[in-house]
This record gives sequence, C-alpha cells and structure tokens, in this order.
Amino acid sequence: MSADHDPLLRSLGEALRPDEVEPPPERIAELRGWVLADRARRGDAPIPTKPKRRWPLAAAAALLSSLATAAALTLSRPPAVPVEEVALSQVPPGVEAEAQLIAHTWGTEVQLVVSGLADGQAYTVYVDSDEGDHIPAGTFLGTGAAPLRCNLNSAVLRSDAVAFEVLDSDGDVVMRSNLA
Amino acid sequence: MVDDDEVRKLVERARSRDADAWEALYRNSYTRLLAYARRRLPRREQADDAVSETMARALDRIDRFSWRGAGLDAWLYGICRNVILEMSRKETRGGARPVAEEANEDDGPLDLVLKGEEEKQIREAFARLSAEDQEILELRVVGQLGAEAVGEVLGKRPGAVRMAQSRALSRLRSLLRTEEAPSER
Repeated sequence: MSADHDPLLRSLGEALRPDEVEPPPERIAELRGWVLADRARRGDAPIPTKPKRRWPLAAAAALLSSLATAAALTLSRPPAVPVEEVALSQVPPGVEAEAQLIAHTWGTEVQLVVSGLADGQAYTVYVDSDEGDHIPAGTFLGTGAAPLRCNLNSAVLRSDAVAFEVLDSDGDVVMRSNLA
Repeated sequence: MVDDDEVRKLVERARSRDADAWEALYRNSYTRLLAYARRRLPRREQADDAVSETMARALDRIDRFSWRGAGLDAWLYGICRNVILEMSRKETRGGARPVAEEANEDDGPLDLVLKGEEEKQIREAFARLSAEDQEILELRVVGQLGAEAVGEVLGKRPGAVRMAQSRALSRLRSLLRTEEAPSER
C-alpha cells in the first residue's frame, strides 16, 4: 500500500489538523503596510482594489515613514497653504492646546501646539475616518510646561476624517477634536 | 482554502503589490503556517512572528517566484522553515525543536476533553517521533503538500520523500502499538 493512501496518514491528518484561525488584525495591517510601502518604493500608482476604502493600522503607520519627507517639507511650507483651525475638547486642566489641520492629497496633517502634558510620556494621535477606522497619525513625548509643536500625518483624507484624538500611553483619550 | 486557480490569480495580483491579494494569501496560508511554526517554536507570539516574517520575505521575493516549482504552498513553507531555523538558532544551539503537544499553552483542559481519545493517542505518538519524521509527516498532512512539494521544502527528491514518509508512518504505527499494548505485571 502506498504511504499516501495509508489510513494512518489520514488519521494523523485529522489528529493534527489545526483549528482554522484568522491572522490577528494588527498582523494583517502590518502586511498591508509592507505591501503599500513596497509599492511606494517601486513608484507604482495605488491600486483601487476595494470599493470600500480601508486604512489598516500598520498600513497607515508604514505610510507615515514614507511621508517623513513630506512632513519635513511642511516645516518650510510657504504660508499660502490653507490651514484649518479646529477646536479641541476634553482638554485636561493645566493643559493648553491648539490644533490645525492641513488637507493633503495623501491624507491629513495635524499640527499640534501643546503644553502641560506629562513630561516624557508618550502620546499617540489617531485620526478617525467616516468609515469607522481609527488610524494612527504619529506619536510624541510630552514636554511638561514647555510648549511643544509637532506635525502628525495620517493616511485618512481630510474629506473622510471625522475626528482626531490624542491618547496617552494607557490608551485614555487626553483630548479630542470633532471635525465637520 | 482557496482553490488553485484563485491562488494563481492572487499571486499575479500580489506581484503587482496588491494589498488585498496579499491579505488573501496571508489568510489562506495562516492557519497551516502558524501550526507548523507553533510546533517548532515555544511561544505563540514567536510563531506569529515567524509567519509574518515569512510573508515579508515572500513579498521581497514574489517577483522571483515561479510556478515551475511545487507551487505557492511549498514555496511559503520553505521560507517559513528557514525563518524558524534562524529564530531557533538565535535562541538555542540545537536548532529547531518540535514543541511537544503537552507544552501547547493554547490547549486547555476543556480542549483535551473534547478531542477524541484516538486522536490524542496519535498526537502523543507523533510527539515521540524524531523531528525529521514529524516534519515530513506534518508537511504532508497539515501542509497538504505532495511528495514533490515536500521535497522542495526539505531539499530532497520526491522518491526520497516518499521513502522517508513511509518509514515515519511505520515508526508512528509502532509507537501506537506500544501505547495500546497492555502493560505486563
């Protein structure tokens, strides 16, 4: 009898067969981010593959790195670029913050000026899309009473963005802006 | 599992760096690659890392992938095997070591109760096989790879794979008989 047709082989297959499991969402997002970054490196145009736009977490994170140059350029941006002033809510006592948005073709830039956040603590900024995605725009460290100015970039288009939030390292919302 | 025709279409889209295609390929192979890695790495997180690294390397090499070989599954298993070996070498000097079924932290008491006694015996006997025997049988029955594909993963000729598979099954059968035999008093 061929080993391929040995009943024991079939029994072994049933005994070892793993339960079907889905990859963790963050791993999927990580892979998608690599693919998008690879496309960007190759200079290929984006592929509009899904009617419903998806902005996985790490895909956006990977895009952030490739947008570093864009971020640097914004620092020396001519003053003619339209800037949108936005209001912040839930700002904790002792914290002063102002925020502006810039709509880019590649996403939304959040410009923050903040003082009073815990010195040395990491904060993460997320932009929420109208499809319910919660996409990171970048991280920064609090500088205590000293004002900090930072620019954060998200791959959510301004027209799709409905809010952005600043979260502390525990994941608690420190401040939020609901966007029109 | 996605059928062969669909996998071929996905691979062509993957060559164009289509993120949806890559996600589909990842989902399609995840369970099997994770099980393979999980049996050879001590922690679930490491196994997940190994599968992720496998996909990252596949992305780097997809332009060189050819259907003239034993197919995408064999190709991915081959990459995954190398990733696991590299990870194992970093942690131990003994190379990849199969993880005994009992060491699987995901298997709670309820799982053990629910799984059939016969399957449990087979798994226990399987765990007592050599690493080589385990790997060749696992690639065959979990990876669902044919002899040619297993040969591509392990660097053996198909005939040698069939021979090794037959011997591994014989050893598994012997171990099962030993376990079934009543103990002498």
